Amino acid sequence: MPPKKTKQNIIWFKNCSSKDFPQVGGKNANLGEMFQLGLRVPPGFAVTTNAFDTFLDRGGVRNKIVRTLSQIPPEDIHALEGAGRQIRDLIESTPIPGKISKEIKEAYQTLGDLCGIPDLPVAVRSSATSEDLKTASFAGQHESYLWVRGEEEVVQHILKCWASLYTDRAIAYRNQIGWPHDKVTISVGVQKMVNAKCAGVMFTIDPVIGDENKIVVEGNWGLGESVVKGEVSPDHFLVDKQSSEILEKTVSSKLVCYQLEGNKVVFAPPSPEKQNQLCLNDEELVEIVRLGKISEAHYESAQDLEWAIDVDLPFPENVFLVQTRPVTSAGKPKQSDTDIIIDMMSSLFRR
Amino acid sequence: MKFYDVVPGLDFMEEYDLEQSPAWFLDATHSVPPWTPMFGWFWINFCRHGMQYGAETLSLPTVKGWDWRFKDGGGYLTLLMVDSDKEKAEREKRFREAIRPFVENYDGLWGGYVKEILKRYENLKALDVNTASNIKLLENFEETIDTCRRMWEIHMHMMYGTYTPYVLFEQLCTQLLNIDDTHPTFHKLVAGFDNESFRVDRRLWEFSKKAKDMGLDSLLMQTPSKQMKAKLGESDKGKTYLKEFDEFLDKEAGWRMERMAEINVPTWQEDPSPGFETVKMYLKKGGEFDLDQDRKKIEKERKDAEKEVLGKIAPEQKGWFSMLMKVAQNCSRFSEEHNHYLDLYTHALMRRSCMALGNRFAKCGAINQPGDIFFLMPDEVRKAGINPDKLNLKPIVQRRQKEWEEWNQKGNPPAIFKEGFTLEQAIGGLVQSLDPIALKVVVGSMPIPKPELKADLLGTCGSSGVTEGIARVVLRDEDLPTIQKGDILVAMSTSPAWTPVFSMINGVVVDRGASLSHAAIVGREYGIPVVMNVFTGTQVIKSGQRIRVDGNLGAVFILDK
Repeated sequence: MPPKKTKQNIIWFKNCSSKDFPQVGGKNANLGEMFQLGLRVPPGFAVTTNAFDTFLDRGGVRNKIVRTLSQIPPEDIHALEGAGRQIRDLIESTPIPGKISKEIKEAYQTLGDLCGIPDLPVAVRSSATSEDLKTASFAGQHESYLWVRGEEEVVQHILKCWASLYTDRAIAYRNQIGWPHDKVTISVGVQKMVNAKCAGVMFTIDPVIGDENKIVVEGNWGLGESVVKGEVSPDHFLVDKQSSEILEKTVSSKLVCYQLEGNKVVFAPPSPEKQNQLCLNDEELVEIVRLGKISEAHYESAQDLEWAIDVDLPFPENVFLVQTRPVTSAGKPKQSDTDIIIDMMSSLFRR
Repeated sequence: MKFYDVVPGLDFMEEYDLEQSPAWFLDATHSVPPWTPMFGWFWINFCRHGMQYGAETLSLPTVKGWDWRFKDGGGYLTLLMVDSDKEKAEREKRFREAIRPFVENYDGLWGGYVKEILKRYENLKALDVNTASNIKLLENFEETIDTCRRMWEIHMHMMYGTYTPYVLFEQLCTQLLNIDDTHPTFHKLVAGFDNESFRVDRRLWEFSKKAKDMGLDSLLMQTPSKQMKAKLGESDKGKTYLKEFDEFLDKEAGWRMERMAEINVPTWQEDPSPGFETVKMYLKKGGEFDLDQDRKKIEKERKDAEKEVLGKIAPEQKGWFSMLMKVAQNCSRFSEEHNHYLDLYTHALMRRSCMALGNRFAKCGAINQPGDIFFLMPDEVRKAGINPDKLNLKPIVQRRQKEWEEWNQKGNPPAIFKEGFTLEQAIGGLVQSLDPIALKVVVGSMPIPKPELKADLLGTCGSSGVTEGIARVVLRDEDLPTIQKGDILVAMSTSPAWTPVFSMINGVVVDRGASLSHAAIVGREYGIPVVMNVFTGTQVIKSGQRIRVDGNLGAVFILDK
């Protein structure tokens, strides 16, 4: 008999769903849920709360935390800052128990093998559980580390996510509401970074004229930001929602895109021959549209999605959804030119 | 007698001010050579107020305007940054509403401000300063102070609001079309607009034509400009001509001085020599007003460039792109017009009000001569205002004048840093502020090293084109008349009073500047090459040397060394 899920240290997204929420936290549970629906997301696994709790108990870390925090007067900000720093240092410098550490490294290795890439770049993110959801949303303590490579680095960043449970703000908040510091726990997600050949957006409704029988897909080479931010005029595809028949393919001259160079994202022109070449083939387009339709059916409303096609995996496992949310402007008149300009002007100051 | 600070509360105090900010920059465009105390008082108080007013009313997300201090006649400035992300987000919300009129109704906004400020000017000018009582003169002085305050509010609200869309337009041109604001096509897009300076130039050309028609041309050519008024007054023909010229000065061009940011030199009203000089220049040149033809060419080039650029923009982006382009193009016109309607006009009226009081004070012996008033500050003027005969202000004038002469002798350092703070850090701070005025007028882009060119100086392109000519290094406004037709002007930077010489010269090299600096904007309007940000041009180039200016490459070559 397989071990009971509650005692597992690692749960793969593909095996996980909303009922695993207490062990994997909200963010990981959602990814699992998308997997179950057939909405393909980049592969990965959750390091459960069980792993964190074992870590706290084995090394005597929990006792040290309780002792450190019980010594500070609740109103003393400086003492609190010192204690927070001390606890975070303690967590980050305590080794993870051998068995758990081995499991994490094995899972990371498996993920790398799946993609055929040694030292696979991953995102390491904290995923808050119910006990700490409020603090998380209050203290904004959703740590995310992108482009982490190598097993030692992954382990180290998991420790960092764990330590983020004890930021000064989180401690202060728990003090304020009287929540015991040793009753909080956390899960961490480890997920393949999308190495996008091309990416873009999809609307399961034609957003300009509000036609519910059409799906619009827009894309550019590289990461999706250039399309999302409207920095480039993307390739434009129109697909019939019922039959998935491709109605229109408009190639646009794509003068810039976000590309990966090493671990750095650069904003540069694509190679000259790619500038006027469609970034998607028919097969890929139809797969994207299929995922869009599943999403719309599940959420029961027109969806605004972000998609990406990964270079590291074979088709169709490489067609990912990165984001899905309801279309807000469906059927409404287009945003005015003035509003578009004002939007862009205010984003100037956000660099 | 007690001697007060020149700008009480805002005189630079190293130990406190370096604590507030580790880097203070000299405003070299306006406060070199050093200001007189009176003018410094006006500028430091109200330019400072205006920048903070402008940044606040627009709710700029990252910067709260600039702080200013007065030090030995120099204006020193530092940026007031918004520190917390929360505050930035709150300011951004308000910014979205505050910037809207600049996109939707630019002409209405600017036109309304111009009307408002001109009305104030008319009120100030309505007082006959020769016959008015001391009380009325003092009242006029107070109203002038208030007008100056309002002028700076309008100035900086408009300037921040005009340059922000320009920065966005430039960024989009870089991203969508791969042309930045040092690219020739970009320059064509933002040039070729009629503005106040051209209208004045054209009117002066008309006066040269009129002189010819009336047979006054040889008299004009032979008479030194300083004696022109007296000489013209000797004949009926001359009187008719003069009457029209005086009217032109009062209505259109007289309320200006050769140095924009100072009030101790005469206005064209008092001494119209600069105007007569330009008329003579046109007489010497003869022929038609060829600027019109140049302007038409530049305007056509702009329209062609607009078409070319819009052709590369995706159909669904064309709407907002062309709208934004129009908004960004306001920069060129605003840059010249605001000098005319705001700075120059207000400063001329400040001079008028000060000189009126200076005359009264001198008449009763409170000071030696009218111009001594510029060594006082408003509180001292108020103290003597109604009964100047009871006061002796000469010791104050004497001491301040001596100090002012010393300031002129030694000059002011370009920046003051806290110990251990570097220029790189300071420039980094300016760039981080995202302050559109700091970025596009003060700092600019840094020259890209191009050793293969073997150029003597490298800078950035302010206006494209290539030319050769004799270099004329001009460090002070007084040296402007040394410029000959066809010369290449070499300066630290240029100011609006220099605009008329742009019609004579073939190129410009400036030590500092960015794409919205005066030299770049006017250079583009006159279609002559401008190389900016060469840093050491005024030191490396000597007057009389033959040089080649390559605006396209941003390079300067000294041909005879």
